[in-house]
Amino acid sequence: MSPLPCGRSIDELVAYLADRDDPELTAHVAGCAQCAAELAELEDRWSSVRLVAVTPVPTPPGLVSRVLAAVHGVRPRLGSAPAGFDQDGGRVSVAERAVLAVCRRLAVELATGLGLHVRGTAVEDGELQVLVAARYPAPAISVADELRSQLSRELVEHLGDAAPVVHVHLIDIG
Amino acid sequence: MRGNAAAFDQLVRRHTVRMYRVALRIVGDPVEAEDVVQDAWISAWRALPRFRGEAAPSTWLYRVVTNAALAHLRRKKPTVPLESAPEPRTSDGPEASLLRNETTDVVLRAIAELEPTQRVPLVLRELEGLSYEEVAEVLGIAVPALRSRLHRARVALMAKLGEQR
Ligand SMILES: [Zn+2]
Repeated sequence: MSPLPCGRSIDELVAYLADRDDPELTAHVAGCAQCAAELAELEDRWSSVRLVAVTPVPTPPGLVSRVLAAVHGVRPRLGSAPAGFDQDGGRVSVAERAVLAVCRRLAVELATGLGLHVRGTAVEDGELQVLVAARYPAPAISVADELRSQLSRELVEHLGDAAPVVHVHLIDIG
Repeated sequence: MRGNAAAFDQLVRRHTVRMYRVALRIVGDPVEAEDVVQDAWISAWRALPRFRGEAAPSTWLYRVVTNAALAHLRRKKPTVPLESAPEPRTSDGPEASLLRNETTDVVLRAIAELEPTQRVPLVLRELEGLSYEEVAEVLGIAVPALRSRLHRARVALMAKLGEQR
């Protein structure tokens, strides 16, 4: 970066702005009109960054519930456990967890390719339910159908006979 | 597992708003930010058996959401032209200061143009207010390396904001 007439650089002033831990530069700025002017301009820009830091970010309504639903969808369900099922990491549980994980991963990959956003996956009674959101209403329904057929094909490839029937539900548009 | 699940749901309730904020500031789009938050919580759930308090939960979760956001940026295809991307929805009423929104939009757009390797530390340090040590731990890099990344990020951001005037 090009130096100021006094030999200091904007880079140095930016570093000074963030940390203020250079007593030698503090002394210089106090006596240098160019640096003082540059620093004032940089401080103005920096204050807009500080403003962003304290400006609250609006959270989409229902976000926490959707996240909880998504997390529950990749958890083995206690109710669906066969007799003698070991919930604390037994072999059956491992297999079920793997199926849930594969369903979720493939759903997200394929949905992303189609411009859809997965908002939850769950296996209920051996069938996979996928909840998706779409930005644009017009193509959303045919794209959701496309997701269902692609996902069914991929799941059969990965899981064979263990592949669940797939349902895709559009829950949010736009 | 039953106890773990309840404790984990509690983590989700407590930290999702913050995770979303970080994701939004890194990926710059509310719909994609929600994708990131979901991915982050699902990897957190899978990693839970390995998480035994080696870091504070908040540090761990910052790392999880940061990694999910970076993975999202890597696989994102630039298909939607920027001008057709929808405006972020805000819950502010019309009485909210227009000037303030304009300023924050300008800054967020400038941050979104930074390289991800600069953007992520900048968001964690300057917007989330983490210490240098905390950011270095989240990113798994040494403090001196972090300082130099942050310096480049600040210089680039100040230059971009200068162009806006
Ligand atoms: Zn000077």
